[in-house]
Amino acid sequence: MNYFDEIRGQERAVTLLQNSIKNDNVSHAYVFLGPSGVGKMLTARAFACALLERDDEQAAIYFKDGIHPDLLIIEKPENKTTILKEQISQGMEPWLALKPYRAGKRVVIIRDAHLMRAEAGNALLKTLEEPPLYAVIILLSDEQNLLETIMSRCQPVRFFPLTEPVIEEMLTGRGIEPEIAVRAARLAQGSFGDALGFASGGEIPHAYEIAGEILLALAGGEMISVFDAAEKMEVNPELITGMLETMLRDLVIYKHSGRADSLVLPDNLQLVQALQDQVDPAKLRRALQQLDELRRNYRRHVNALIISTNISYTLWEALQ
Amino acid sequence: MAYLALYRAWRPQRFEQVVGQEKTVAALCNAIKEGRLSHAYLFSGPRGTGKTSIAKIVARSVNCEQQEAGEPCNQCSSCRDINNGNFMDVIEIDAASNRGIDEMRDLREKVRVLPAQGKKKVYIIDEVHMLTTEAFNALLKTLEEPPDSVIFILATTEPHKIPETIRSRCQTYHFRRLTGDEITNRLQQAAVTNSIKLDEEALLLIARRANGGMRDALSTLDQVYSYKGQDISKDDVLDVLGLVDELYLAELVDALLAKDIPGIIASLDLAMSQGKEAQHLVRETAFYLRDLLLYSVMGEKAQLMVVQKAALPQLQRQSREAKRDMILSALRIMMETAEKLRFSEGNRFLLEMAFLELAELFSGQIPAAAKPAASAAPREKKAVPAANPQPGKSKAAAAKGEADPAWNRILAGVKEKRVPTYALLAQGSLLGIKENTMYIGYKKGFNFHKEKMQEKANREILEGVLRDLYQKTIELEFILLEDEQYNDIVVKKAIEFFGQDMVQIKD
Repeated sequence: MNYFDEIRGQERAVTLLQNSIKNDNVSHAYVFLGPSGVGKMLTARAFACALLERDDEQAAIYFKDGIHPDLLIIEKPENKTTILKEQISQGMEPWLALKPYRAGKRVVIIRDAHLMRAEAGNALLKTLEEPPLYAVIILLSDEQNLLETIMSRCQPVRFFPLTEPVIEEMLTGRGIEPEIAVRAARLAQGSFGDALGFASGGEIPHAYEIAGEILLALAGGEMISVFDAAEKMEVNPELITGMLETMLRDLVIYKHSGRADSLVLPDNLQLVQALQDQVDPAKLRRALQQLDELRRNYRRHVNALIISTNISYTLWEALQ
Repeated sequence: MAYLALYRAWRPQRFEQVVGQEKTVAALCNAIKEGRLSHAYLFSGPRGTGKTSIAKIVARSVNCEQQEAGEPCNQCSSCRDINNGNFMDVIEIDAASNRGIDEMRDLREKVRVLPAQGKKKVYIIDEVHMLTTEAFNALLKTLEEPPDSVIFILATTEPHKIPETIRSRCQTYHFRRLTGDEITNRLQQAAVTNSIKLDEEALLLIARRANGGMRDALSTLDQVYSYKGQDISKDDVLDVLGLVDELYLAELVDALLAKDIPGIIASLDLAMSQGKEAQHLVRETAFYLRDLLLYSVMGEKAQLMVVQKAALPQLQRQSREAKRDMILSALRIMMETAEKLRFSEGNRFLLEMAFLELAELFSGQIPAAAKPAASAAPREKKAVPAANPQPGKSKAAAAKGEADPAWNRILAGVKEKRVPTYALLAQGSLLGIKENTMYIGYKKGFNFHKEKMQEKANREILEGVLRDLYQKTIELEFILLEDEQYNDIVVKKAIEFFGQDMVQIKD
C-alpha cells in the first residue's frame, strides 16, 4: 500500500521525495516547511514508510502499528512547551548510533521542530551535518524560525497552503455539506486542520451572523458596546475573530478597489457596502494587524474574554 | 554506496581544494610545513565558509604519514582512518550537545593521555559558542598550556559569544563569506561532475541566494537536482525555492507606483494560488526594493540581488519615478511585515495590508518621514533634564513660578538614578533656593518620607543631581509643614524666605 496516495495538494513535495527514492539520492536530512495542517506529518510518515519498505518487506505492517524499530518520532513532551535538548542528545543520538534493525535506513522524524530552543537546535547540528550513512532525519516545522545553521544542513521541502478546491474536496469527502465546506475552506486560509475544525462544529453560519452583528454594533455604538461584543464572541471566539478579520479585510479592499469580485467572502458584500462610507482604511489596516497578534493569544493560557474585549476595543477604535 | 549530499561529497580534502580563505589556508599550511603549529585555534565565520572542513584538513595533515608541503596525502592509513572517523587521536566534539562543565572536566582528564595512534591529538570542538560559562572557564587552564601533543581547534559561527579569555589564548582566524564568483566556479565543477546541465542564469541565481555560504549553494543545487533532474533552468530554481520571477516583482512594483489596487490584489492572488508563500513574497519584494534603491544611488555599478537582465529596463524607469526616502520607508514596512509573518497564520491578509500600505506610501498619501509612527511607534525616551539652568538667576526664576520645570528636572534626574529615592522626593515640594540652600517641604503625615530623605544615601543622590544641574554644591534643608493648610503654608514659608515682592501665587 502506498501512503503517498493519501496526501493532497502537495504534489511538488511528494514528487521531490518520490524522485529521490527512485533515483537513489535520498538526502540525510530534510526539513519540511509549511503552515500547520497541510499534510507535513502525513508526508513524513509516507516517506519514512517508503524508505523502510525498500529493504524490509514487512515494514508496512510494523509501521501501521507504529512499532517499526527503525523509525523514531520525537515530539514535545506533553507537559512541556518545547522540545528538550535531552530528547536530542540522549534520545536521538544514541538511537542513531545503532545500525538499522530490520530495514536499510533508520528514520528520525522530529515533529514541531520549531519548538526546539537554541540548546536543542544546536545539539542537533553535529548529527545533522554528518549522520551515519543509514540515517535520514526529517524535521517538521510550522514556522520559519529554525536556526540558520540547521536550515543550511538540510534539504528544505516546502509545503504550501492548500488551495480552496482541494480543501473543499477533502471536507466533502468527510461528509460535510458543500455549502459549509466552501466557507470553511475560505476561512481556513489553506490549512486543512483549521478547515476541519471550523466545519465540523457546524457553527459557521451562526458565527458569521454574530460577527456581522458585532461589527455593525461597534461601528455605530458607544464604547460600552465593546463589552457586549466581547460577550457575544464567547460562542466561539477564534472562529468569530477569523470572520471579523475577513470582514475587515474585505472592507479595506472594497474601499480601495470598489469591486465585488475581490472579496474573500461574497456574503460580506452587503455589510461592506453598508459600512464603507464611515471607515478609514489606514485605521482598519492597523486594526487588522493587531487582531492577528491578539488572535494568537487564544491558543495560550489567557482568559478568552479578556482577549475578546481587547479585540472588540481595537475594532471599535478603528471604526470611529 | 548511499547517496551523499553534494555538500558532503564536495567537502575539500586538501588545502588546495578549499575555496576562498586564501590567507587562512596559507598561514595554516605554512605553519604545518615548518612545524610551527600553535596549540589552539579559533575559527569563526558565517555558516558554510569552511571552518569545519579546514579543521579536518589540519587534523589529517598533522597526523599524515606522508605529509607533503603541509598537505595531507589522504592515502595513508591515518588519513583514511580520520576520514572514516575511526582515528583515536582526532576527537570531534559537538559542544552543543556536550556543553556542561562535567564534559569539559572529562576532556581535561583525557587530554593528559599521549596520542595512541598518530603524532598529535587534535580536538575539534565545533559550535563552541554553546558551551556554558563554567565549561569555558574549566577549559581555560587546559587551553593555555596543553601538553605538547595536543592541538585544539574551536569552531563557531558566533564569535561574540566566546569569552575574551578564551579568545586571547587561541590564534583566531576569521572566515569571510565567499564571493559570487568563487561559489559559481565550485557550483559549475559540481554540476559538471554530476553531469547536471545548469544554465547561466540558474547558476547566478543559486550563487546569489547562497549569501556567501558554500553549503547553502551546494544544497540548493542538490535540491533542484533531485526535483528536476539533470537539466536545470532558472525557472526550475525559482520553482523549487518558492521564489518569484524578477519580472513579476517589477510588475508588482509598477502596480504599486501606479496605485493600481485591483492589480496588486490580483497579482498577489496569482502568486498565492501558485503556492508561493507570503513570507517569500515579502522578502523578495524587499530584495527588489533594495535593488531599486541601490540602482537609484549607484546606477550601473550596483550589485543587484534579484534583478538580472530581464527586469532591468523596468528597474531603470522605476528608479527615476520613486523617491529614495519612499523606497527606504517601503523597505522598512516590508521588513516589519516579514517579522510579523513569521509568527502569523492569517498571513494572506497581512500581506495584502502591507502592500496596500506601500501603495499609499508611493502615491504620497502618507508623508514618508511620518510613516514609522503608524505601525511601530518607537518607545518615547524619558525626557533628559536639560543641562545647566543658570544658578545666578535661579532665585528669581524659582520665585517667578518657574520653580516647577526646575523641580521636574530634579525629579527626573533623581528618578534616573534611583527610583525609590524619587518616590520619596516626589511627595515633597520645592519651596525655594536661597543662598545655596534648597528648601524642600513635606506635608503633614509625610514625616516618614522626610526622614528617609534625610538619610545619607538618599540625600547624596539628590545632592549629586543638584550638582550636575547647577554645577555647584547646594545644601539641603527638609522642612515638615505642620499646618493642614498646606498651600497656604507653602506660600507663607516662601514669603518668609524670599520676601513679599518675589512671590507670585499661581493656581
